[in-house]
Amino acid sequence: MEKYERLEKIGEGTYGTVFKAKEKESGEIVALKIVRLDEDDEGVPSAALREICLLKELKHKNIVRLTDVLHKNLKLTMVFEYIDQDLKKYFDVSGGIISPQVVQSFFFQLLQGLAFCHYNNILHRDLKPQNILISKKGDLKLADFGLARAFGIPVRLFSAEVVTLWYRPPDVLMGAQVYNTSIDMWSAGTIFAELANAGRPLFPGSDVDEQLKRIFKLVGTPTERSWPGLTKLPEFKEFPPYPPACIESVVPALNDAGVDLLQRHLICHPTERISAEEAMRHEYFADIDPSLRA
Amino acid sequence: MATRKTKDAAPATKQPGVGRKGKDKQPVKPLQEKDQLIRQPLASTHNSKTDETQKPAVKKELKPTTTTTTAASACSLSAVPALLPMKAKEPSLSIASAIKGEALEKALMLPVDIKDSEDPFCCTEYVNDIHMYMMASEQKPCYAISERSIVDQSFPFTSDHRSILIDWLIQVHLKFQLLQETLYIAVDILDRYLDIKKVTKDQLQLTGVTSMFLASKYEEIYPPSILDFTYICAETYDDEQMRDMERNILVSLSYDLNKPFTIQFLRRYSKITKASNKEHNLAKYILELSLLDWKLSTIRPSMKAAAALLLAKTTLSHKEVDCSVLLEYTQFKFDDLRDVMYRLKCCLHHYHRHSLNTVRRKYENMKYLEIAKVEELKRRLPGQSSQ
Repeated sequence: MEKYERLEKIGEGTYGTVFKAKEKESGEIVALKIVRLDEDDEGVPSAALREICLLKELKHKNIVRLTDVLHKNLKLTMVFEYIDQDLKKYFDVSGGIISPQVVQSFFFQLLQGLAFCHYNNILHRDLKPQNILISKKGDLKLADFGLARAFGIPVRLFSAEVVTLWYRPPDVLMGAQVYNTSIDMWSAGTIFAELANAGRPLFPGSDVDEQLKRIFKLVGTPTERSWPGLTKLPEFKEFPPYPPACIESVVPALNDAGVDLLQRHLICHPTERISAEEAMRHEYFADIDPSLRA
Repeated sequence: MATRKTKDAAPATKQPGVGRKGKDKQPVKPLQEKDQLIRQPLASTHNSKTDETQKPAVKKELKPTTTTTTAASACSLSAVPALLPMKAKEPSLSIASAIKGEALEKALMLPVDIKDSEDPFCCTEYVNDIHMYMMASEQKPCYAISERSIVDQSFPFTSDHRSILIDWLIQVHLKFQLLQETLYIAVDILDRYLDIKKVTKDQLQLTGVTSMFLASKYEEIYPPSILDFTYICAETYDDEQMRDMERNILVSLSYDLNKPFTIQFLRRYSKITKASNKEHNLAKYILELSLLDWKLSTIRPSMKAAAALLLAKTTLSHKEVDCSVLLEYTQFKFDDLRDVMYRLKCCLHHYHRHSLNTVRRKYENMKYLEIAKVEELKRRLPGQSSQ
């Protein structure tokens, strides 16, 4: 007998299909991520393998909880706590208005989840609104660790095919294969701006070139001087020397401290980018609700 | 590090699972029945990729790490069992006392890290947190390998069978040009599974090769395909058997594959002790040889890495080796470390001349500075006469 009763399909993950389901015995609502393991196949996909292994390590209030794994009959089922919606849906229903307190709370929780990943030597590598869950109570949880991986110190070469275009940092866009926690910090910054603008993406590029152009038009085209090593990146390309624009103008709803914090995320040179831990100590969070702290 | 070339640097030429079979590939000899392995020269040893040759970014002009580097805390390791114990003192930068906070963080940063804080790939900001986390993580009960099962007479195979299997796995690892990490993860998966399940002799190779399959899916960007692995076993097992074994292993280990392994610790320790390239490579040789010895699998990885590095330093320097930095950083008891060094030394002595010689041959390669050929290993190993 099946342990869970499937209710409805919620969506498609990086791999596998996600269903809302009910645990028959307790009546508890859960999310099931189901991966079909076909015959004559490679067995458990490495994305699933990594996600399971990493989420087993990451027990934190700002990271989605994996409660069980079932592995039988050519089917791998991951059981997660059920969270009402993702940030993208939240934007859709917010009607273009998110209060400054909510922006601050969400971003703080996002950084807190991320800092925990980074402490535990795990990079998320695919932060975007679809992978961030928001509960009815306003709790934020990072999800979809299908592209995440553990890193050693020093960090070695990883695949450049990570992070959805809009949230991808300029170094990765130019083919950098060695990256570290700073990869997630760029994505966090772009999501911060998107939160402040109630769901309007900051850099909605259509391809790599246009993505870089959008970025440089806002933060200024980097040079070998502002970013040593830039011209040696595998896919480095010359861009017109755009001067930095005024960041306040793209996030009108954000206060001064918020603008400063955003600016520290949107730095092209990865070393100069703020860390999650530093960001949490920024004055923008001076009046943060203490109950949000883990 | 940033310029280090691995196969991952050129993904376009590597189609996972495609073109792997064929011209340059011979199956690595599978384990033979009757417990013996007819061994084949390993052609691929000489062109396997560079992944570990560089020493971990130790910069020469560094100032002394701490002021505690005194003669009193130095230890003569030429006679390991007679080492002087460390003078007990308050650790100035113990990881246990790493408390969050900006000022403290700076204070806790080792000079080696401050030097590197401009290099994003050293993650200097998180390096001590991560080390502390890995030290805690390696001790989780789910990662433990019990001493008991290894000496258990009821086992359907002996530790020699396991050594033959590991030697073969190292050949496979070389042949597929996998990352160093993958080997350590694979052997750890295997040992933990053997600790939980009774594996019959004829399933031993399947268990080993599936461990390697799992480890490469976990760690590699382009893991070899399942068919590459069945091929390397000369089709002794089919892919369905491997998928079944994969499920058995994952379920038995409850998917806990994120155990820290020795090489991760070694890189950190080589860096903080400013180990030379030779010392680092010899420590790697010692650690890889130690995979062959089942009894050593129960030692926690951080301890094993620290002991291997000290043993390497002693072997190469012929003089007193200062271990104060390492002891302070790891908070290990000196006596525990000395015990592990002694066991590693016995292992080095035993396997350096063993007929299972894949590791030795690998480390005779230029890529590893021909470290297995150094004079110091030809002579009587330090303290050997006392055994």
